[in-house]
Amino acid sequence: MIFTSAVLYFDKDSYKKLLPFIESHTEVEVYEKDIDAGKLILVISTEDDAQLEVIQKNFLANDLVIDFTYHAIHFGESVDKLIEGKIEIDFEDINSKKKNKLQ
Amino acid sequence: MSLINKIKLFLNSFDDNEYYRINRMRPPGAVDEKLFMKLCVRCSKCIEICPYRVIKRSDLTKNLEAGTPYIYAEEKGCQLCMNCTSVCPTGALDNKLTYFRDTRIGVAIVDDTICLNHLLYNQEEAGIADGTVAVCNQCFNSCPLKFDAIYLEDMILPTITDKCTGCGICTESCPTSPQKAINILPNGMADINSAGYKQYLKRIEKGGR
Amino acid sequence: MELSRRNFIKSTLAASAAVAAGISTNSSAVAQTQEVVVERWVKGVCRLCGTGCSVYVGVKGNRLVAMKGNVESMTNTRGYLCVKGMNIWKVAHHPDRLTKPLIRDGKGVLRPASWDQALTLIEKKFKEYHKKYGYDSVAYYGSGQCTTEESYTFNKLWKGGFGSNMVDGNPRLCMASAVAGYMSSLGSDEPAGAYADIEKSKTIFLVGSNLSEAHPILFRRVTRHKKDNPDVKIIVCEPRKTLTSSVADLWMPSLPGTDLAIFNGMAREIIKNGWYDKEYVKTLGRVTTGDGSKELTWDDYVKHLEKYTPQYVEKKTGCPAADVKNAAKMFAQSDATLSMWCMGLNQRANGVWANNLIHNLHIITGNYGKPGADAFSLTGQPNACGGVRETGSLAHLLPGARPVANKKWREFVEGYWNVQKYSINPSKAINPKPGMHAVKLFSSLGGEKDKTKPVKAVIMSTTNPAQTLPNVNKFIGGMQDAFTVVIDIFPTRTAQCASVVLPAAFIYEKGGVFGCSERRSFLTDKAVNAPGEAKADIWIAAQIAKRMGLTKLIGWANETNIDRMNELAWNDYIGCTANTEKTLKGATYKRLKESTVGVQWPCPDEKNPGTYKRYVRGMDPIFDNPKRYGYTIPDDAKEFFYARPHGKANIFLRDDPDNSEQTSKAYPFIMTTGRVLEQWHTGSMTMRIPETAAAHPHSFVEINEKDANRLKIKNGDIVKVESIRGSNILPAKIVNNTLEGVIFVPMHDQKADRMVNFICSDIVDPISAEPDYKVSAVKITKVSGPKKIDGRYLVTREEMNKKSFS
Repeated sequence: MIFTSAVLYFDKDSYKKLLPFIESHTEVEVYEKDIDAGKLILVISTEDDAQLEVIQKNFLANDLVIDFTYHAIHFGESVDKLIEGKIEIDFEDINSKKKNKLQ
Repeated sequence: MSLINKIKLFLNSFDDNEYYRINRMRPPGAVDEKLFMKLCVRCSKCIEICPYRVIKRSDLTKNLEAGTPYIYAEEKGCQLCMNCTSVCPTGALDNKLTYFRDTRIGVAIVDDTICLNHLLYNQEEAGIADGTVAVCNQCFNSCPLKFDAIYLEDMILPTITDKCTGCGICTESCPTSPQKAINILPNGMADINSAGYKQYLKRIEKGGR
Repeated sequence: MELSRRNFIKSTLAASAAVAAGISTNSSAVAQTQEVVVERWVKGVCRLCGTGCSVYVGVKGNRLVAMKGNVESMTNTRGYLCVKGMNIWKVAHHPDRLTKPLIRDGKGVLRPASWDQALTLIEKKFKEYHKKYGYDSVAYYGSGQCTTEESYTFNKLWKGGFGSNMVDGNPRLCMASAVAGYMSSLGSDEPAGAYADIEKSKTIFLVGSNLSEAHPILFRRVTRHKKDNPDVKIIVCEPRKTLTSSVADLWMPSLPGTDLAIFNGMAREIIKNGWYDKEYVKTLGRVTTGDGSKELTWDDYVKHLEKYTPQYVEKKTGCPAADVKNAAKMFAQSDATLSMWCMGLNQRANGVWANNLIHNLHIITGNYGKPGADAFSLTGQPNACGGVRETGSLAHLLPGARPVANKKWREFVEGYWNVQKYSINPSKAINPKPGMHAVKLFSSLGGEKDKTKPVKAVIMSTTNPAQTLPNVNKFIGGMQDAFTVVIDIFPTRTAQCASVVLPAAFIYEKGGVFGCSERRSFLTDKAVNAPGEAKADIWIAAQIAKRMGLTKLIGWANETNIDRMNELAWNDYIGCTANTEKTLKGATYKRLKESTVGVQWPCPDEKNPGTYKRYVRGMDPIFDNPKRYGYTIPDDAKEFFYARPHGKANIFLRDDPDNSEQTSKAYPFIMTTGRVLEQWHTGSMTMRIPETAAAHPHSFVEINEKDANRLKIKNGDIVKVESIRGSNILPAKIVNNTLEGVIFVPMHDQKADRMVNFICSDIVDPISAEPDYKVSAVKITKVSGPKKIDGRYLVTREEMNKKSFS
């Protein structure tokens, strides 16, 4: 389970419109909000980073979203498995996947 | 390769077009961003030596830039004293750079849709007058390399030359708000789109920071 | 609360993200200022420079909320403003505004008091000193930033009521040489032409003026004129390369204090090459020297100029010889040449002579009278012309800018003011002897016990001599020891020395007339109320008048409405000067209230539109009835300098002496001073506007790169700039386009170790008594490497209680 905190910048006048969209993502929880400044703190719980990227892509594609940026990622049990050598991470692969297209 | 080395390698090599902001520059003498991220050991020597407290540690982290030094031009530009370049222990800032005119932190770009002088010039050319325009020149007046790095085209339009060091003093001085009419594009930009400029404009438009 | 490990991780992640993103958990809505809502726009002028831009201030409720230019303006055509003026209204609601009278107690602390207490103390002291030390022991020091009505009132109070000419003002420090220049060369103060000459000129000679920063709107008019007419030639003569030079076709460098040689050199070239106007010189010129009493011949003039060969000029000034010739050619061979100058020529050891020499060039080439031609002295302050020069609020003048020594005029004013009846001075007359000019006044100001200081009290308004007098250390003690009353809107260095501080109303809180450089008077309407107990100067003058037994002399003293007071004072003033060449009789208050362009004098009646060009028949109404003004003009004279005998302007033989402070081995650099666009004077207003102060939040010293390399000084290094009088600690700005051996320091910083006037030379012009701010001999030593400077230093309410300046 990977936990990720992210900051969501959005058009502050459209908070009400955006809310259902956020809620449609069951992996996403809203932890803090500063609606007047157009910012939300989200925590996303996903099985792996691929799922995380799909969510990021969806958010960035939404017109009401100005920016969606990761703050910190907690790899949870995956870290223990890593250290025990039960998982191999292919760094090359991650590199090529981590191409965030900016609008 | 051991796990630790794999992680190290991963931390320091990633696509350098990922996330830049205008008006957020590296200190003078910074090497190419990709190399910079490898060399900068977050020792803070440059941050400490800056007499003006202009160099700051990065705040919002993405791509693990935490702890690396930035200059935020909207708050305060680099005064070009060149103290920092000589103290960097790893060469992330070029120790050989001592002459302020040779610095290339970035380049200034003028937003002609909000620059007061541009707005005045537009009215002049169009033959209209509504009393809302003013002669400014603050960017020109505050530039430490005025006449060389910046001049006024037609005596009024701020124009940047290739001598611009990107110090950001013009951005700091610019009186417009909430968005500055002159901004610094940090060095190492591939193009304006990937610089996060459009993102920044969008964010400011909607009242963010 | 139950926290699973998972929740703990998630909360921690969220919390750190929140901090990084700057989310305030207690987010109360901060109202975004939407489009500013203005309820009404009130007509007025900009509070700042002598350009006299007219504006509309936007009002909502009792607050100023915006400013825009007046598109119908004749000064800032098309309503353009500069960024400084556009923001100046913001000082009105600044929290540092003085709102209560303050009286300094025995321990040196300024304590709030009532107006009655403050005025009673002032009355007591004035009466006591008048009795003990004479009527000249109490002085008024005014400002080119007070309204005309206020200056006129105080002037009348002193000269008519107290029989004392101890009235002077800060224009003494800026325009006095220009005044004396006009009076001696043309016979009457202030320009013959107007800004309209800019768009009609063929050659423009900018000298002793950083037009781009000191009068940015006029600079825009000049640059636009050049852009639309590429054949127009512009000559810029200055001691450091400024933005103004960018518009120059010919840039003439000249070491500070030496340019008299250039002007004589140009005249020599013009005459040698036959480029002068023989007919004009014959009919409208007169050669003279010294005080102008003795007439000389043309040959005397030519002989006098022989010394000023281009080679001599180059050696003396650093201006290349070829440039002197080119400048002479451009000047003389254009169809219309306009010269504009400001402090570079006025604030000099021989400022009057510098002015005379520019007038010389215009006389010998016939460059007056026709469109586009004029010798135009730019005024620095918004109301030095209207309020101080024209009302005669200087130690040697009376309203109409005529000397107090002129018996006929003095007697007229005595009659008009009914001095014989109302004066409290037993002499029952206006004192024929001039009072003290600014530097002398403050040199003579001191405590009761000091017998060497005959002036024991001074009341001053809207000016800051404890920061602006040259060699200012000399004068601070005197101001602290004497009974000093300061009228101002903010704490200043001068208020720090005061015995009594009176809170003043800002221009948009009181209204009044300002008269700008081009003889144009414009009325500002009151827009909002003054904060707290702040009062208009004219009200303060009225209270003093009443208490000193001069209610009849100041006929508006009993009014309560400021607007009415202003109008009555204005009527008194234009009545007094109705028969002078500066008449504004046609500029009734009603007309000024309705007008969006103001009125240029001479304007003898309401039908007259105002005068664009003086001394020319058909344009100048003096020609229609010269006798009324005491002049004689031949019927066939098309152009005539009627204020001079026979209508002939004076061509003065002037030398180029080295009267400024000379450099030496110990003090090898020349320091010149000046302004930056974004700051105004002593910064008490502009340092409080962050948007514009950002460009120059503190002073610096501009050093040529070559000099800096020799002294091993780098950009940002902290250096000590020192003269025999005092020193400053300043950050260095290394530039590569100034003259070697010349450094520049701006005047705006209040921080004690960055107040440039501690260094400045206090040599004054022998005729005008204006100080030589532009030339001081200094040395430079490096103090340390770069250091952070806390900019926008402001004297606070607390610091005003301290004796020493920090």
